[in-house]
Amino acid sequence: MAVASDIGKVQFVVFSVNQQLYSLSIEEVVEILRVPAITSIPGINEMIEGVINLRGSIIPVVSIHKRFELPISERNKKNRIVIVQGKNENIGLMVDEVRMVTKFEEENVEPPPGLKVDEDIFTGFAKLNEQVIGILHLEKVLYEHS
Amino acid sequence: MADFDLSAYLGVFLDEVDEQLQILDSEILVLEQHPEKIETIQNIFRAAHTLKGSSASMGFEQMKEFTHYLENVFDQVRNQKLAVTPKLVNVIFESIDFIQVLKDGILNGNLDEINIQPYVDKLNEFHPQEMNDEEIQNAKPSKDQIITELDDYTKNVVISGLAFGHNALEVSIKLSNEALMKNVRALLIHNNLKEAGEIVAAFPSIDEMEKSEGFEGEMIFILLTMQTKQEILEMINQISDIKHVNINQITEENMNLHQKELAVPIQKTQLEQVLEEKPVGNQKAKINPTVRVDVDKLEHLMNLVGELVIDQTRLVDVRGRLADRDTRQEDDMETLDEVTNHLSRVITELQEGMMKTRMLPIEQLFNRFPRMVRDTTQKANKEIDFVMTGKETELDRTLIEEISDPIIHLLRNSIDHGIEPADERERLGKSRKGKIELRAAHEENHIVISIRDDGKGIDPDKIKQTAINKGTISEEEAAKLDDKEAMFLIFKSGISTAEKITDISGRGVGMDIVRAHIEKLNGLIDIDSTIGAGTTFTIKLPLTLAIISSLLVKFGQKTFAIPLVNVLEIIRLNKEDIQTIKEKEVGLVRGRVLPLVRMKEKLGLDPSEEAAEEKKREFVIVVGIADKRIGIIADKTIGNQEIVIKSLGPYIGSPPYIAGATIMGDGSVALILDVSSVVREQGTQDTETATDNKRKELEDERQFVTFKLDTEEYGIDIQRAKDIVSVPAMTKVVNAPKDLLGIINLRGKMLPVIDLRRKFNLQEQSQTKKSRIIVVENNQHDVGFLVDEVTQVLKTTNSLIEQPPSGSQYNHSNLIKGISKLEDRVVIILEFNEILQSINLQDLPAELVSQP
Repeated sequence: MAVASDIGKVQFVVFSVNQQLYSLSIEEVVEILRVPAITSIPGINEMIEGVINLRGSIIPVVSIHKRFELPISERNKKNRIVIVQGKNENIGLMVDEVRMVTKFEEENVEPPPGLKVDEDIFTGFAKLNEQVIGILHLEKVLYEHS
Repeated sequence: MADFDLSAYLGVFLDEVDEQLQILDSEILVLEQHPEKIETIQNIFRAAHTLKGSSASMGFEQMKEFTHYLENVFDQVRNQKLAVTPKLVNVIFESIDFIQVLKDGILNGNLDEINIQPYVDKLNEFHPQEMNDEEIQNAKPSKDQIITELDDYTKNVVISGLAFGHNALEVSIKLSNEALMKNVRALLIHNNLKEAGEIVAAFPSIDEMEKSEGFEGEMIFILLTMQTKQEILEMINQISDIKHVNINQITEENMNLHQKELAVPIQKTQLEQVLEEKPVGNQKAKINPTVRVDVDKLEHLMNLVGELVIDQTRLVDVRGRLADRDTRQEDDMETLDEVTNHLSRVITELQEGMMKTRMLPIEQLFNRFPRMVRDTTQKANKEIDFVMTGKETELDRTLIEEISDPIIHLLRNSIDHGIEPADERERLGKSRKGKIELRAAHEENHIVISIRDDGKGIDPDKIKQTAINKGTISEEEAAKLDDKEAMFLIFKSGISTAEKITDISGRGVGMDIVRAHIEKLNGLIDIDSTIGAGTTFTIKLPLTLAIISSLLVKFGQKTFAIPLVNVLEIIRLNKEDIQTIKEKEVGLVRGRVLPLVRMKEKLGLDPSEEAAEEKKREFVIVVGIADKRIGIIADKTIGNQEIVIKSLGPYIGSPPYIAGATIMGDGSVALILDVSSVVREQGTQDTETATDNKRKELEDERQFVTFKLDTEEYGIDIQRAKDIVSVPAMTKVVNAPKDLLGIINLRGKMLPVIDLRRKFNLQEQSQTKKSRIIVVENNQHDVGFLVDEVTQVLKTTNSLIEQPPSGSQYNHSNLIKGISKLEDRVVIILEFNEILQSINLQDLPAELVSQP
């Protein structure tokens, strides 16, 4: 997970979900895939879209839309699965589009406001080209949800 | 000796301890029955001695000291100073258990905290006069009379050595007969001795020891050293596979005593003679050399094989799709065909081979039981004969560990509840001694373990009563149960067959857990019992857990895999055979009621538009776990496939009714149905002889590989056809019988190929691209048959096969088993045994038929 002091040194993978921009430090990201066939599994947490076969391993895929309770958009060609390192296993995050891999200037990164956001799933917000990009707290996104 | 890291040998050491404890356990059981058996006593002594030696060399003082006392006791038994009494046997067993404790102490690193004194005291009761090492040494039969004839040179060296205050020792060593690489061990001993002092002479000479052939493992060294006899002895004992060591002190007096028998450099010592005369136990058959492999590494290889299996299914899948799409590129298709076929074969063999490396004889597990049975029998105050068969049956090591508890429980159950007390047995006209048989065997792709006793059997009425009393079932329900169903009630928690609770197997827990455990392993358990005559528990398990055969089905759009071991049969039910009882669907199968589960709905899968479409018939997969049977309604059955079980991972956890996932040929993920959870929830008992029905059904449905010869179509039982290969280069055989076309090299084996055209007196025809060789299994050696074209796998039933009219044109020399009339064609089913016989393979050149 990106620690505040590291910001400016590490690269971030920026992706969009429902027009919003989010990012994860590149160290948390294992790889980025086009969306393969996803096998849904009945009776599991709804935010888990299903599982995919990644070169012989079964990887769960979490829909960021569902996780953030956003309206689900149509699937399109730009959709990607960002494979990240969970606890002891890799987990896929389904996003609308991967925009770029970039560095943030330290002075452009602000800590989360603290009051406004109901869940502290962000470790901060970065400003880049007039856009605000949320830096995700991966562990909380994956493991702390209602 | 050079300093080296002992921890590297810890694993080996612990294995050895296990092994020796195992030997002690089983041999002492023998000793208890036959206290006079000298070879048993020798075995026991040697095991204790090995334990002492190896723990000493690893530096585990407590263990060394304790085993030393144990060895002393055995030594007394061996020298007939101590009689084998039940009390002694009990104390020895306690001691063996204590060594286990010491071993655990080593594992946990708290060996130093264990107090060996109480156990030493117990042993010392049999051994009041405590001896120290030196005295034991002196008490041994050797009176330091040296056995070697020394030449003058050696004598002089020894004398001058003695003058300098050295010890002169004659060290005679015999390696055990089974020892591998005797010459290496001899050199090892030689090197060790060289470090301890100076070797003045060696018999046979070092050069001779070095040569591997002819060296029998007996050697004598004359050593000058500053170390004591005891130190040298311990040093030698660190080397494994030594059968016997004897060290004699050489003095100026005894050196010259030896005048006789110049020609024989080695004379056997007393003890050795004893050993020679009484060959050690029943010498085991030749054991292939083995390699110990790290389980993790094996696991990794296993996973890779799993990947290969998946790739292979993908290839086959692609091949199939290409074949559908494009028939123009026939050449390429055929190559692909060949490659996929060959790959399948290689992978199957690789997979089997891999699996076999993980296979261990169940002996490992079984060997623990005699001891346990003995102790339990004693506690229960009964008399029992315990017989084990099929120890050599192999199964996956993970299963061996897992199946241990259920077997122990069932054995205890038999001892405690099954077998009657001796007096009662006598009164009933049975032998006083009860008999318990534990049997393991392979049956097809399963292992079957049965525990049979000749005790009082299970009384279904009593079980019913207990179940009613406990409120497990109502009286109404009980009345409906037949005897077998009632018996299965013992798998419900809290129901016991015992009238009174004992501390062996009582308290009413157990059988339900046994069943749960077996279900977890994808196994089945069955009971068969006759009042007064005995009870048999039968456990059926898959051979391995990593890769299983499964039935692929569709629930809606989704593919699911059902472990084949749970599938009893697949039936189709007409709509009118499906009824609703208490809002639950049941099927009527052969007059019995089978609860049905619409898995698609249960899993909450897309109730799409096609579901609304009324079906006339439903596919029903009858699955069973232990005593319960249910029918799962599937939309489609796809077929059997080997699947690699993959976990869904901790993030997803264990969703209901799903046991894991697997990867299909097209790379998609299919889910594995957790049959046990579905059955547990929905099942009712149906203990009708489902296996019989299955067998009947299997007999009824037949599969044939069909092929063309000229204009006719023939079929051969699919079980007989081992492989189908395209025609490779063929070697003609000189003076061959007329049907023999030649031989081909099939994966390194020579395969004779018979031309069926010739056999059937058809006109010879040159081979085409479609020509194939069907490899047929035939006792020791396979035979290939050249056919014009392989057409399909034909599924048909016996009822559709007609007997050939006798005397018809088809039926020359009984080659035809039957004729299957299909819609638009006729397939002649061949009797391959007759064909094979008529070929008379004995006429083939010997090197062909004597395949390895």
